[in-house]
Amino acid sequence: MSVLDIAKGMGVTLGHLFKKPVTVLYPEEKVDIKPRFRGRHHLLKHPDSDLEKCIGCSLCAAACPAYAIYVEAEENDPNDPTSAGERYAKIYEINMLRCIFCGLCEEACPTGAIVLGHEFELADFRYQDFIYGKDELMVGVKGSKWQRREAAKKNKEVNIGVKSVPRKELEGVNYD
Amino acid sequence: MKVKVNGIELELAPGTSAIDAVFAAGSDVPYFCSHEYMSPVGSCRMCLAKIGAPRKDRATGNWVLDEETGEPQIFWFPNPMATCTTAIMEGMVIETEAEEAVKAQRGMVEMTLINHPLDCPICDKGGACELQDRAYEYGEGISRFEFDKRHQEKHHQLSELITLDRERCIHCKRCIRFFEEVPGDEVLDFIERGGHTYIATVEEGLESNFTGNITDLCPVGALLDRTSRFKGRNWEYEHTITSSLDDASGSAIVLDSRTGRLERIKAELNTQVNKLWIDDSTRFGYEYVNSSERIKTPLIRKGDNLEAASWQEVSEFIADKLAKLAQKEAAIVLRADSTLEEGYAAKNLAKILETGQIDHYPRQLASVIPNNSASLNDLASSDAIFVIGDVSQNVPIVDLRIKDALKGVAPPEMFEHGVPIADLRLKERMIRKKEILTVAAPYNVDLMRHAGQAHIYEANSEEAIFKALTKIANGEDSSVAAMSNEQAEALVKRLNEANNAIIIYDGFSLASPAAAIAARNFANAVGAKEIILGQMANSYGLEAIQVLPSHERYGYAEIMQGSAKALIISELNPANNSQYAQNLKELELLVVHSIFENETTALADVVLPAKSGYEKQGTIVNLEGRLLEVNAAPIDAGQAQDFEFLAASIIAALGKEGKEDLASLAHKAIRKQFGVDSKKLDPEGDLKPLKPRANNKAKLHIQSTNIGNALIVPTMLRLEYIDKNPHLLAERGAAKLTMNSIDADANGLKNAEIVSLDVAGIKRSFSVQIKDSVPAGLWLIPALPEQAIGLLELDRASLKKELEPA
Amino acid sequence: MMDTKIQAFFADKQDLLSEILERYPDYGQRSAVMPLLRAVQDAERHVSELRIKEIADILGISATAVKGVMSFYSTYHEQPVGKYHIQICSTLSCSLAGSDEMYDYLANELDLVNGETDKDGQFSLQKVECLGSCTTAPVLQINDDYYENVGKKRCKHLVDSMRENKLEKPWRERKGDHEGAEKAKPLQKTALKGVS
Repeated sequence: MSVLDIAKGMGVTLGHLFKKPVTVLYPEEKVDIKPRFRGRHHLLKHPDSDLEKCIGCSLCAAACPAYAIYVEAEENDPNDPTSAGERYAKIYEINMLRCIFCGLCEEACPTGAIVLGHEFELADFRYQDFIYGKDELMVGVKGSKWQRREAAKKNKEVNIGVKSVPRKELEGVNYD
Repeated sequence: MKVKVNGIELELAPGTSAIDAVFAAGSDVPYFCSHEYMSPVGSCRMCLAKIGAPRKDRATGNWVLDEETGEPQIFWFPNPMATCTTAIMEGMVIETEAEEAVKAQRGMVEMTLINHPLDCPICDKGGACELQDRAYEYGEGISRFEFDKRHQEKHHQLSELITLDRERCIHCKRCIRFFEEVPGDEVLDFIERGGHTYIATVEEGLESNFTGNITDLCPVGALLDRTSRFKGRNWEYEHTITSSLDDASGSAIVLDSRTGRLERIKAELNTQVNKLWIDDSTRFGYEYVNSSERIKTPLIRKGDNLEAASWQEVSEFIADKLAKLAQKEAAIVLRADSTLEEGYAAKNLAKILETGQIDHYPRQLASVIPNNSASLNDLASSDAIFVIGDVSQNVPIVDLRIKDALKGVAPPEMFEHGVPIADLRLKERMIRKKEILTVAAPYNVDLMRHAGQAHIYEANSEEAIFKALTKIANGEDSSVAAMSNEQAEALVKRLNEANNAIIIYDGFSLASPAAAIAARNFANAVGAKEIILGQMANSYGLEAIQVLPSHERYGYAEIMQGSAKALIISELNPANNSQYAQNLKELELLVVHSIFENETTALADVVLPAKSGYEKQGTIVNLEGRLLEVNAAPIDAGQAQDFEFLAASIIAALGKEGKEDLASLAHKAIRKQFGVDSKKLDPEGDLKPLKPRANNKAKLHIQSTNIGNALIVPTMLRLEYIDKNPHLLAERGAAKLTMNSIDADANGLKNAEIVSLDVAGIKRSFSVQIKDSVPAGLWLIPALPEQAIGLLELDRASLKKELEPA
Repeated sequence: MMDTKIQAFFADKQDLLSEILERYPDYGQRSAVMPLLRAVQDAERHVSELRIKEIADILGISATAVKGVMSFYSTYHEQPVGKYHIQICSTLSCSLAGSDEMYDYLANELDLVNGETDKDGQFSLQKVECLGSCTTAPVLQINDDYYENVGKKRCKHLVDSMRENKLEKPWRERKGDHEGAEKAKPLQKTALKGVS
């Protein structure tokens, strides 16, 4: 090892002092997440309609290695359908404490209704708040239960620490 | 007969089908239309195989030999053959794995899927679908057909209980064949042909007691059970195999439950009892167990109200009260579908309380244990059957087994793979040997349509009929009510000459001990075996273990009329009878073990939550004398418990626990009485018919009435729960009061009119049904568990119109 | 059960009824369903639901079973058909030889759709499965007669003649047709053009 080598190494260090840092000042700054990140789930709707994609088939629950999903289905009212088929999920629950974010539910879903998104701030205070029902998972709902509670208290918009562009599977999801 | 399947040589009986040869060899072929217990028709063309056989030279009668090998030459059929309709021949060679067979099977899967919608994720059959499985195992995985699939009606409601998705139908014809071959009610058929074919009925609804079986049969999701529509998926269910407590057959069923709710009942195979069929009441009559109105905790009376308490508290309260009573002052009554274990528990409790006031109800005056008992498989191979009563409503499975006998096809021999998949003796539209069946009843019963001879006799003349027939059997002259002399003689002759004659009778005969004795004597005189239809699932068992009063003063009716000071009653509602309600009010202690609140719980000091028949663990004895296991499904019933637990907690609170707990006492007692280990029962049950006790301690106090203007008739439906079974109620309607149009006109009644009526103290509401096949002057009233079958005098002045028919 | 206003079809035809029923043994009485349906269809040009029930009652089988048999054959009709009941074979051979175009032409010309009868009761149009005359595709069946190798021109001619109530009996290309007296004509080359 020569002095030159040491100088080279210091040079790299020095060089980086002038580059834009990789780290982000989270939570002051929002995180730009890579497209294939697997955060909490979204239940999607068919674009331009109020019909849910989920048909309550329970295949996600069957695929789930952590038994985190519970689905209870019911027949659609033909005059006022909830989903596009005969059947919809009356109850759709994911236990976020059990979920290992493996994405198998997304893989199993025949209609692309359940997709893992980019939200990762799932910390909360009560066990029951980790069970996300349809209200929490439905597209358009941002943040964890606690984040929404806080926002409601302060009468502000829910502020999540994500600013990424959703991948194309996350139809209708917006992180802005 | 020697056959060779995929290189394996087998020795099989002649008449075996090729598909059974394949399965016997441990190979597999796919099939959709063939079905155990139904005729093979070869309509799905799935079970194709390459089949060949050697040939005999016509001139010499020797096998045509292969020139090279010197072995008999195999002549292959020019096309792949459907193995289900092909009978085996000597030296037949069956190849299911030959290239052409595999290609044909793949082609058939593709063909079947051309018009089958791929909506498996929302199909209730998904995960338990034969087509799904077979397409996965035998299909190519691709389709060359890119055009639109056939579109037909997707929600055709065949009845309130069954829905038909015509797009999913693959035209296997199982459902159509079922109705024609099994119950003999041709209510479904293919309409149109070719690609336009669909299943339909032009009758109003599906008029049969066995419609639900087509939902089990359907190899795809075309026919579905509406009570379980869009509930759990098949892999999510906990499957509990048990015996039904719906009627005295003890049919095998599977309880599909999920998250503490019972969501579906399907038939299970019991080759000895119900084969693969169950009636609609057994299948669809379960919804009440999920009702939110169930009593889920023990309740104790505080002033006018009942308040929740713990089992501990209430047991101590009960024990306190009971300790103050003298001997013979407490009474215990069970419903006749309680298990043997509950029966023994009740007996042990009675022993500790030193009382003989113990009974089960509904129970008739005569014994339900036949002297010379026939099994249901005996019945299916019988060559002369005499039925007196209403089998179809009492125990519908017996009705089906009688129809098996009419086909003249004895129950098949089993293979190692189970029941033959294609029994070639069975044919479509077989000629039924109606002449072997004679049916007599006080009114027109359903089975009469299938009988060679049908006789409607005057109610309560069973004794006279049996006595007259016995006389004829003994060579004396006599005339039988409702039969001509020739008919009576022909009947006796047929029963006498038959190898396997069977006489079936029910509550109408049991209502009078003399009639039951006459029936037994007649059976002896003609050398016939007997089948007696008890009113409830364990009527046989509870009588066998003597859950009976020690004295004629202590029967159910006497207890209700005030023979006891304290009463522990399970699952019955005697207070619906105004004559009994007053006596029940005056009791020092009334403990009611019940699933729902009712008139009796309203009077109770303590109400204890009861388990339904789907939550109990135990043993029952069906009408043949077969011990069957009852298993508990995981259903959320709060703190509900069976009678065994109830008795144990009272005994514990009394401080009179013995060395052994009630469960092991019952286990020992069953071994002693029946000679079987109740923990190791055969899945199909152990047939241990008993002899009736010669000297029955329960000499009965109440004499049977032999006059009356109304008949309590058996009903397939459990009327006590029908209000909480919405689908079954919608299909079958409320309880019917059936009468002749003469009676209806005399009372100004119209069909479907809602009326209320005082039935010997019980105020009940009915929808009027006018049927001219009912004898004039006789009103038919379906039985409640608190009312045993038989004749009674009705106060017709109590009839009130409630509502005009809609 | 029978509506009293409409008399049972066989009420005044007991001789015909017993003649038909006698053809079949006791256990095979249900086989009489075909001739009974035929008798009704011939007389009334359709078999109504009421008649289905009547036949079912005569044979002691369910109305569903009768309907099943009846609907299998395209020759029985639930609705009265027109004076000229035109059936177009739409199975493979005829379809390849142009029966779909023929159907479109007829549907336009007569202003009818499949299974429909016009207001005057003159024409009804129906697509049917194979009529068993694939060698002479496309085939039209008008009432009981086959009209074979029907091209556009001939189709137009047929429609015109039906409108004038002057429909002629078919000429036949095949040997051995059931009206034997007619002389078989040699197969026309035009019919084979598309094939070679």
